[in-house]
Formats: sequence, C-alpha cells, structure tokens
Amino acid sequence: MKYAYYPGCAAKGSTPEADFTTRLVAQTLGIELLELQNSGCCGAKEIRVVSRRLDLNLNARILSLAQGLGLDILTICNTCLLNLNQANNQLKAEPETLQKVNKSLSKIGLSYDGSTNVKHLLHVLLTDLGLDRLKQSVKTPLTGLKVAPFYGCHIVRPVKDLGFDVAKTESLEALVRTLHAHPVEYPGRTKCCGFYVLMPNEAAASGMIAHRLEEALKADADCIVTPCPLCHVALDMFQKQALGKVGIRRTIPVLHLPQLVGLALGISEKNLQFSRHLVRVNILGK
Amino acid sequence: MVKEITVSIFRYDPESDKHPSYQTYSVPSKERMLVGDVLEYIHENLDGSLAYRWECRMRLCGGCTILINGKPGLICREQAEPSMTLEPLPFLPIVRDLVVDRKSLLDKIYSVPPLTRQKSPVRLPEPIAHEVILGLRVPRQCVQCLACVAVCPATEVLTADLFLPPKLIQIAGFAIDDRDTVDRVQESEESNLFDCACCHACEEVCPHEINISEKVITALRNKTYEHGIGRGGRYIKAFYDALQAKGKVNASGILLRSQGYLRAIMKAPQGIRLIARGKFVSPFGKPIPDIEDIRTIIGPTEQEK
Repeated sequence: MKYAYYPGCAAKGSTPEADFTTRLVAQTLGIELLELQNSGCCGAKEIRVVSRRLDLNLNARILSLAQGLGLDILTICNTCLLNLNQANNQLKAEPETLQKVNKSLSKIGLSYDGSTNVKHLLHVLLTDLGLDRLKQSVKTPLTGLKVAPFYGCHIVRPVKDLGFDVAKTESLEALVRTLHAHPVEYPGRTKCCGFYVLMPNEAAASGMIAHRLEEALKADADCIVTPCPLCHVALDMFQKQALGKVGIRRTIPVLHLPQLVGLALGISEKNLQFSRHLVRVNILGK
Repeated sequence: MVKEITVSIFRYDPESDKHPSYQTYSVPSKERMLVGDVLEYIHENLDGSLAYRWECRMRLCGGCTILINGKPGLICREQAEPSMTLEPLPFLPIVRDLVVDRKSLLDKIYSVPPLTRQKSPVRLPEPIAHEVILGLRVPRQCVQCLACVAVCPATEVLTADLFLPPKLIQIAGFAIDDRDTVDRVQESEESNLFDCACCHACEEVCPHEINISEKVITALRNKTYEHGIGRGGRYIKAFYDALQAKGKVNASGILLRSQGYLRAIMKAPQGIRLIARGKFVSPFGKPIPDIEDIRTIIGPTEQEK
C-alpha cells in the first residue's frame, strides 16, 4: 500500500502531532506515504467564495501532482477530503471545465486527466488495510476505554460528493471496537464542531464547541476521537474557554484518529505527542 | 416484509397535560407507505384525538415537517420505517401533539419580503436571461418547511433571531435576480451570512435537495466579497491574500490580515499557550517553495468562469 500523502495546512501548522503520528502509524502498519511536497492549500471553504475556478485550479494542481506519482491521495483532513473529491467529481463530469483548468495548469507545467482517487486515512484503515489486519497489529488493547467518536462534517456530508457514508456504516465505531475500546453512543457524533465560525464569530463557535463537548461528557466518555485536525483545533485548543463560558470545569481529552490507533499499536505516549494538546490527555491506565 | 409498523408518538396538549408523554401504536404495514399514511391510519382507525398537519400532500406547503427518529422530514415525503419515533419540530411552541406554531419563524423569514423589488413602473414584456431563470429556480424551491432550521448548529447557538437558513435562501433568490433593486449584500450581512458553519447538515435534510452551501451561502458570500464590505468580506480577502503570499494558510496570518495588530495582540495569551506546545505558526513564516506556481493559478487572470 502506497499513497501520495497530503496532510493539509492544519496538520503542517496548528496540529503537527496529527502529521507526526500519521507517519508513525502508517510505518507500523506497512503503509507507505510519499508526501506531496509543496502541495499548498486546498482552498478550504474560503477560496471558492472568491471564485469556484480558483478553488478548482488549486485542487486540480494537487490531484495532478499525485497523478504524476501514479498514486492515490491519502489525506488526514476532512475539509481537504471533501474539497479534493468535489473538484475531482466536477472535473470528471465536465470536460469543458477540465479543459479550462488544464489551461491554467499548463502555465506551471502540469495537467490533470481525472485519474487520481482521494481517500482519508479512515477509509484506508477500513477498506484498503482492513480491520482484520489492524486487529492483528494491536499490541495494547484499549480495553475499558470509553471513546466518543466525533466524525466532523466533511467526511460525512454531502454523501453524494464523498461516495461513502462513513457515519451510517458506523465506521469510526467499528474502528474503535477493533482497538478493543468501547464507542459511546451520543447525539453529537456527526454534528459540527464550529471550526469555520471561529474566525468570523468566535463567540458563536465557542457555543458550538461547548455543545459538542457537553454531549460527549454527558455520555461519560473518557475521550473524543476525531479524524479531522480542524475539529481537533476547535475541540482541544478552544475547549477550556468554551466550557468555561458555560460554567463547566471538567475537561475531556480529544485524540486524533492516528493517536488512538497508535496507542493500541503500542506506540509510546511521548511519540504520540499528547504533550502538544492544550487539554491534558489523562486516559492512560483506564 | 414487516407486517406491522410500531410507532411511538409524542403526545401533549398544553391546555390539559402537565407533561408530554409518548404513546405507542401498531399499524398494519403497506408497500411504499409514507409516514403521513401511518398517521392518517392512526387518526382514522385507532385514535381520533391525535393532532398532526398534512395539508398539500405533495411537498409544496412545507407544513408537515416533524422529527422522524430524531431527523426532520416531511411526512408526505419520508417512507415509513418498521419502528419509528415521531416528535414535533423542536424550538417552536407546541399547539398539540405533532402540531407546532410556525408563525414566529415564518415572520422572521418573511421579514425579507418574498417579492422582487423592481424599478417602477415595470415595463412589459419583461426580458429575463435564461441563465438567471436557471439560477433562480434553485433557491425558489424552498418551501419554508424548517427542516434545515432544526439541524443548523448556528441557529442552535445564535437563535433564529440571528441566524435562519431559509431567510438566507430567500435573500439568495433575489440577489441573483437582475431585476431586483434591493441591496441584498447588506441584507445578507445583517442576517449574519458568515456565521454559517459550512457543515452541510441543512442540505442533508432539505426535501428539495437545495444545494444550500454552494447556491446560497457561497453565492451570497461571493457577492459580499466582491463588494468588499463587512467582517465577512474582509475575512475572505485576508484568506486569499494569505494564500497568495504563502501558498498555505495559518490562523495567525489570517487573524493579522483580517482583524489587525490590535486584535492579534489581544490574542497573545492564547498564542503563548500555543508556542509552549509547539503549535504556533508565525504569520511571518516563509512561503512554500513552489509559491510562484500557486500565485500563477490563483491570480486574478484565472478567475474567469
């Protein structure tokens, strides 16, 4: 298994532990990652506001770089996953648009033919590697650990763009069980963390963050696990302010997906870089 | 095939009941049975006191939305499931059982009058470009069923007074109409357009499958950006500038560009905590090595549709 690895801006900036632990977990599981160097930003939800065409150009460039390597893309960010898939779907469905985008790409010596597939680490663990093989690699079963699976939005919706309903199929719950941990049931699993409102309206985002954390706390979870570094930014970095505003003193650690997998694979706490989190990770020994 | 449908229904009459309760009914199952058919069967055969709305029966009036197993949907559209819990829409006063008083929200939506404001007198015939009509069709499919409101995280936090998706859908319907003369950019800013969390939850429940994130939110934000006004317009410009400068984005860079040094300094305590954990990215960092490639493909000359 070999992929063109596209970590996205957040994992290269605010959440470097997500990038670091993805590499460690991939290495342990025999998944080869060839990073798309200099790939830049996917445009998030903002560049399409300037112009849909610019968003397509950015994503087509990334898809084209992976095409040059002859590899599918593995990303660890929900928004990158959705953006790359939406662009890919549109470019495949509209030959005229692909032609226009390729005219832009030709100025930097690239072109795209629509052949790159885009997957999230969660998809790769579930389908390419398979949960049976993952189970065989578990060295430290997470028995007794109550985990609140938090999908984030852009790996779940819109299903027509993503092509795979990870929430309906309870993918994250299945993965948590594979690691011998217990997925708790709670209403917030596919709701929004508020990340995209943080910059325009931090108070509103803080309310959304508090709701999601309260839902996980009420379900008596020991920790939250998320496949998205943007959700991690919202739920970890802004956790204390958000809960403080609603008068809650308890906290709940938020783990990146590769950190939870890494924990079960026997990777040390130090290498999982829990010390980088703003909320203390106090789940070990549970 | 399941022979019976078991349905648990929220029952409450504010005039006589102290608390809401749930009543369970068994209904013989039929092929392609809608939730509305189940309720009609109960009303006609089992319990005439059950109150629910089912008016046009063709997805057009938007009045019959309830929560079906926790998810909002029109009873004239959604297929019955073998086991269902039916509840009224949350956040609205209950008239009785599944019937809620929708007036307060409809009044807020119609604070944007559902009319194209044209220069008067209107000259007839009125030529409208084909592409404008195609664009208008999307937001005008909205029937104010309020399903999107029930799942919107921004409405949940800000309340419907400050953020209401159907109101933005309505504004979008006029913003792309050439004949309209109202300042829809201002109107969407006042309706807190940039508080949308881009979560796509509204689209998932919209009975008319309106692409709200693209055809409403992104379309209106584009107009705001082009007018260069408000906090939203400044934020998008900051993001675009940061991307052109570095090829990648980070929060400190966008904060500095969109809100200035003073606001950025106020965030210093948070910044210090991030520095301590190796998570702070300097706004003055180097661009990616292939930055010229990014600048080439996202420059102003590449923006043509």
